[in-house]
Amino acid sequence: MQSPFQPAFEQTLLMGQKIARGIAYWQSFREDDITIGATPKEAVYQEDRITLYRFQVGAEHSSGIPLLIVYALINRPLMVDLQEDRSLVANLLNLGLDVYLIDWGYPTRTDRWLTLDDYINGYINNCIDFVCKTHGLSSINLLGICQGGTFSLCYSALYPEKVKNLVVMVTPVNFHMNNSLLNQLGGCTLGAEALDVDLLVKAQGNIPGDYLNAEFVMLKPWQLGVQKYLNLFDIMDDEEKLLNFFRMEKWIFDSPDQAGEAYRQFLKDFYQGNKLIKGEVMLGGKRVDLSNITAPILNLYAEKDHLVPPASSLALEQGKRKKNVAMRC
Amino acid sequence: MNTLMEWGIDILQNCFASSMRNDHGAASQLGLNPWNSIDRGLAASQNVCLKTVKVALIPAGQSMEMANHTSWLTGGGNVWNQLYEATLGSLAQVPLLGQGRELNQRVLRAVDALARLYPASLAYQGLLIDIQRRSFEAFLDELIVITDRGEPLTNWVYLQQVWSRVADQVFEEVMGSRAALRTRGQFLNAMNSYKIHQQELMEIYLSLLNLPTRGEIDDIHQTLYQLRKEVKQLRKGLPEEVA
Repeated sequence: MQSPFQPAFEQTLLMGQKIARGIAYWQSFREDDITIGATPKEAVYQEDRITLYRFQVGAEHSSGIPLLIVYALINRPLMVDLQEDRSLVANLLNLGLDVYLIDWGYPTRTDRWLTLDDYINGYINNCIDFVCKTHGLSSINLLGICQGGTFSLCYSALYPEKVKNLVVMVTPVNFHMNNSLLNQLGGCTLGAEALDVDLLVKAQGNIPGDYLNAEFVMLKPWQLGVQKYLNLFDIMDDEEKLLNFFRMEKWIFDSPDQAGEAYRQFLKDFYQGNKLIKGEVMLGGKRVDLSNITAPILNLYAEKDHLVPPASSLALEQGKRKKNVAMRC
Repeated sequence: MNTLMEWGIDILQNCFASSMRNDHGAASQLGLNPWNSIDRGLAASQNVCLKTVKVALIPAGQSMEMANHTSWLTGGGNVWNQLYEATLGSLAQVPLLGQGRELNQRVLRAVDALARLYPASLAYQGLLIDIQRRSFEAFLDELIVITDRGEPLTNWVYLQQVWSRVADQVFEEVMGSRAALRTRGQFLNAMNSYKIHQQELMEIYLSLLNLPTRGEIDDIHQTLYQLRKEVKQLRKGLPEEVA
């Protein structure tokens, strides 16, 4: 007859073996093994702290129109090229596209005064001009991800003639999402009572990446702060999976600081004022009106995204007044 | 609990009052004792102190009874108003005299900001504790549901997963409420406000040591930023070969 403690004993033994193997792998890893950004690329344009990369082409070009990827200011843009077998960039290259990426770099206190006008009318516009000039084109394709998607929408509304096709991924458009904790913490319901952004920027100058990381972890404190590491026991006897875990960990916590003025405007105008959907955002003295966008838009969103709820992205249809917008989940 | 506290404090008040009467009662009646007015003053101040303790303890009792983390801070007549706002808090607002008035005023304001950070932090910690309590309740309810469904709780990993899911769900629900957002906002805003005052004081000391301050460096950075922007705009206006 089997002892009632037998399954628990076997389970503990199995877990012990997994942990022992995992520790052996862990010890064998070095920080340099944790590489992000596997696809070869070349820096083709630099301005202040930003770098425009062009990925080295792997297949024959099927399209003459290059694609520029605009990532969020939060976290590093190499998420799009995380590892060899998990790379959006590699897949796009294999489809024959010529891919460019803006790397925002790591802002320091010198960049504390940079505004959204500098990012959108300045850096993004200059990069697009550079790519257009390189290829002898008047417009290119734009892919904006998360906050980078919001920037791309603003850009496409201000310079519709320079954007051929626009793809936005998990992009917040309507920021007054009363069921999203991130938006609520940002002050979408209570404004300065929930977070006095002016006070925060005055106290911090630039907004530390660590502060933002803590905020993101506090959206699901147990799952992101504890459970994730307990689940590690399950995979740590698999060298490849363990390495992937470290890769993700490195990407998540490699968080640049945010330029103070740009952060102030993003929080106040977008999160608290919800001005994008209202057509009230002003950049460099020009009003951002989403209905000015002429390029066809592919709007990609994730059903279970706790940072950008689907409804926030779907609002683009309303802001754009239903012209040329395709939605994919 | 409140009634008990009020009763205890009333007894203490009466004891003090009667001890005053017993010691100096006869002399006071004759009006000959020069310490008479001082005694009355002392008695009055002790009375004020006891009243302060009384009004301070009553919301504390409410807090314990109702597990309400905000009762320390909300509304008039609470612990914070009686213990700080009406005493030291108002002192920080009083205009000072003399050569050191500006510096002292800044020091007082920084102390005031720190003092305001404490209850805000306390309230936020209370909120987090309250969320944990609610999470545990929800966790037990979830375990009952799982057991009723006939699903076996096979191991601690599964148990931990249930806890993480339920606790985060409760966290999101509670934290998204207006009251919780306000509590968190008060904490963050108080923390930033204190940091600003702290920096102001630090700048004074750095200036005294003839060292550059954060504000001065920020000014230089701002000037550099504006100049850089201006140069970029001018360059754009130039013919390509010159730029």
